[in-house]
Amino acid sequence: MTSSSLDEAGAGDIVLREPSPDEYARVAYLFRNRRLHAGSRFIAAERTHPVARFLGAVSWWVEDDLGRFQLACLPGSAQNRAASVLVERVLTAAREGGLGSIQYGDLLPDGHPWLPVLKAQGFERLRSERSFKVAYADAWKRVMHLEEKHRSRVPSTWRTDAIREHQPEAILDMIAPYRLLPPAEVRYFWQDTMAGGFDLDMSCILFNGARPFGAFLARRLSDILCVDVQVVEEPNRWLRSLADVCQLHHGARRVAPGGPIRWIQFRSGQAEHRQTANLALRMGGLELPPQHLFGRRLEA
Amino acid sequence: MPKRLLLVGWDAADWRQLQPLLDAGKMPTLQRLVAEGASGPMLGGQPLVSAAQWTCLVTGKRPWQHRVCHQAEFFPQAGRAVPVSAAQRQSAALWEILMRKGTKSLVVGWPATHGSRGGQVKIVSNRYGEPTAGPGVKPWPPPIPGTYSPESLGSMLDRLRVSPEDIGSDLISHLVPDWKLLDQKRDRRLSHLRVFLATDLSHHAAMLHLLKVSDWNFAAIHYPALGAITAMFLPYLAPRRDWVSEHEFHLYQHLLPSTCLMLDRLLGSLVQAAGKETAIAVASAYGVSPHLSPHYLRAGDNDLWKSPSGIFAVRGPGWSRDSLVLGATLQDVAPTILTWFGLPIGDDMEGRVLMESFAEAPAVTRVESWEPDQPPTSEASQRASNRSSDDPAAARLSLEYDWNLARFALDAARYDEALPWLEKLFRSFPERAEFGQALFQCQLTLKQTAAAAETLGILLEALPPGIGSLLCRVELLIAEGKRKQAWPLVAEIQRLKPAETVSLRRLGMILWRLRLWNDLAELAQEVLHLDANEPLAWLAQAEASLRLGRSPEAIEAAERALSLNYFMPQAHLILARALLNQGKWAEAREAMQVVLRLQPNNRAAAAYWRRSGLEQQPPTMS
Repeated sequence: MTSSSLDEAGAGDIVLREPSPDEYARVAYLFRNRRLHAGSRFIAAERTHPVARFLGAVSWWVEDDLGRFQLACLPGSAQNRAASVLVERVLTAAREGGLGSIQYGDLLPDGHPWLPVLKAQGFERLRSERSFKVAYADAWKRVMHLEEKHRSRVPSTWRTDAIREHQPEAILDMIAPYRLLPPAEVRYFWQDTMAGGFDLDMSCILFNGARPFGAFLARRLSDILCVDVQVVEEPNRWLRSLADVCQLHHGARRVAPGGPIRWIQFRSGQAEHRQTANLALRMGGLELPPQHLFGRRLEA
Repeated sequence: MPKRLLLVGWDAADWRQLQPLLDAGKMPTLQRLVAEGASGPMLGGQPLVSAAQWTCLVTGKRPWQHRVCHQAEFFPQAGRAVPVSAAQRQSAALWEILMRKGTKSLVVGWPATHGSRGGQVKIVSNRYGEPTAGPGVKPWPPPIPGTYSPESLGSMLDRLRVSPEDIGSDLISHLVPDWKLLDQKRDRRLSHLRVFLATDLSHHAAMLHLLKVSDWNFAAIHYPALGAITAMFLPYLAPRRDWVSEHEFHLYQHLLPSTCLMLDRLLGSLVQAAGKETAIAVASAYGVSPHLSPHYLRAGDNDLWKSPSGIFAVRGPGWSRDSLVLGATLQDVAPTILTWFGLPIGDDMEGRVLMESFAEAPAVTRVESWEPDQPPTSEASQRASNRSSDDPAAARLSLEYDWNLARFALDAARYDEALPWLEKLFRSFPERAEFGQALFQCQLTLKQTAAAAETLGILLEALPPGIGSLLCRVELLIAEGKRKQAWPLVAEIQRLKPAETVSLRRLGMILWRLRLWNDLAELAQEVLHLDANEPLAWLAQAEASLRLGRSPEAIEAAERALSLNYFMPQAHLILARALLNQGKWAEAREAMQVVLRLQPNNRAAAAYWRRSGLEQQPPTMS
């Protein structure tokens, strides 16, 4: 993509261009605490006077016939303007690339500042997900209490290992039926250097001897611990609950409340993952307004 | 016999933690130092970068002068960051100054000494204790090159290094009595503890050996373990916080006090080895924040738990006995020690000689500077060129270094020096709002209102709508003399009820400058309701009360502020004014004397001193 002025588009002094490699740190800063897709390309919205600065950027990538993108803008006075021109540009790029449709890369809640921008560009809601938010201090107390109470009942063959000590392949088969994250994304967010990836110490695998039978994968985004995967393969209901506690305790032991994490957020599909929803509600969690996937078809 | 002084540095030692142990008679060596010497709190600067603070202590310079502004530096050969080395330091350390007058020194474990070339100084760097092999490897490979100066020290000191494996269960039992209850596969903090302790014990063993076999006059040793242990285990300090599990509290609650006792025992053995005619000084470059927000248990990756208030205590020939030293800063230590050795202090040293710590007032002599005239060594130049490396990690480190440098200059009220660094940071990374904020505030302070307005125009793109952006806009309006236009925005800020400390502080300053005394008193009350030990809120309460004609309340509030932070000349000034209003001339004069002692160049105070008539009886300057 080449540099171009948007005078004709009415964006005045905003210039859209691909950032150079030495500007990558500044663009990445706009996306801080966000997980970025491997191999995505960037377009940045820049104002040059009196100091050249990026007002926002879009990260976009292609999956077969589908274009996907994420948007990040400085939160101040130029946010909406930058967001509008960036979405417009990514639509143009997707059309030029011959793509059939385009989607926003993350789920967005009602009231998110990007919704009016996306709707103005013809985006529509494609599907929704439930999510639950629990105050970290409440969850922490409950988990610590349960762990102390039931510690003696945890089978001696069980143990949790931080995912830092393992490869993603250890759990891919186990989590595949739950359709929580595609394997490529699991691998990608498992990397040590991945900003916005899994927390390699708080996330864990639950073993019975050498056999993994539970996985807890979470990311730290700002003051929220986002639990992407919370799976236990155990038919006995009581043992399953005990396994949940072990996995949560693994993370809780590492981060005290009152610190950088204020909330835990659990994801759950609209119908699937009742186990996750129940777990969140039992910890005093509240169901958040649903989050939505937005997209649109692209005319040839 | 030539004079001898041993300087001992403890990371994160804090009188609040030490006093109960001293009162209980559990730290007899430090107790003796306090009882038979001069002691008091010692104030450091912001940000609380440990290597920078310890370098201030031995150079008498601020970080913007000595240039050790970050814990790490980029090592291109390894492609990674390593602890900051001696090559970064641009100011002469005490041992280098003393060496020029033929005084021999020993230095062990002091930050930013790796790679030193010491001449007559024997230096064992702060990387001496770093493990050089994994568990089970014996003997350890020698420490990395650059650890010793002269290198021949290695032949006698290599074998004295203590490995984490050497930390036996007896010492661990002393610090964590029930350590056997720990599941060490799950909780690996005990292994970290062993590494921290091994470092201190390595430094100690090396210094003990050098004291015995060397001819020396000045020795300096740094013990980092208490700082590292505090960062990791502070949440377990009694009383138990409700979010700390009883099990873990029971295990770790004695760790920090027990570490202090261990340091006291090590100090005792150093004192013995140094000889009874040796003066002993103990210092800490920073302390522990009393308002700890409990955070990551495996911390150490941020400085939120630190406070700028460290300790200083000195005893021995020439030092006063059982005296309290107030108002000491890190920069005061080097000129004080130079004076004790009978050497002149550099005019370019910002600190003062702590006269009150001497048994008899010494003659203070001065030289223009102790800095060598020659340009930086080739190694230093090489390090400097590393900062322009293409490696993204080097670029990140360089940016954080510059940001620390600018903040150190701001902390020293060196706004003119800070301005170009902040401009550079802002132009290179305008998306980071904190750079823009700092530049904006600096420009306002320097009365560059037009430039501040331009900065704000850009900054408002990076700040979300709300309190932060409103505060900036009000500050600019006040600077532009548009006070009436500021009032509605102030009302909007008050309606939004700021909760963050920094925002409350800025709002307080705005109300003060707009002379909205009732609002200022109300804000101070709100803050004090949240934290009754916030000295700035008491200061605001004192000023507002004084302006509202309530002198007794002003006196009470000013005294409360000073009990929490004695180093607030403004609070002493308010106290003096309020006392004068009450006709208490003698006390007012005393308060003014403190102001002028703390801030001899405070023009407003000097003017008030003359105007009020208090000057008629001149202050006794110590």
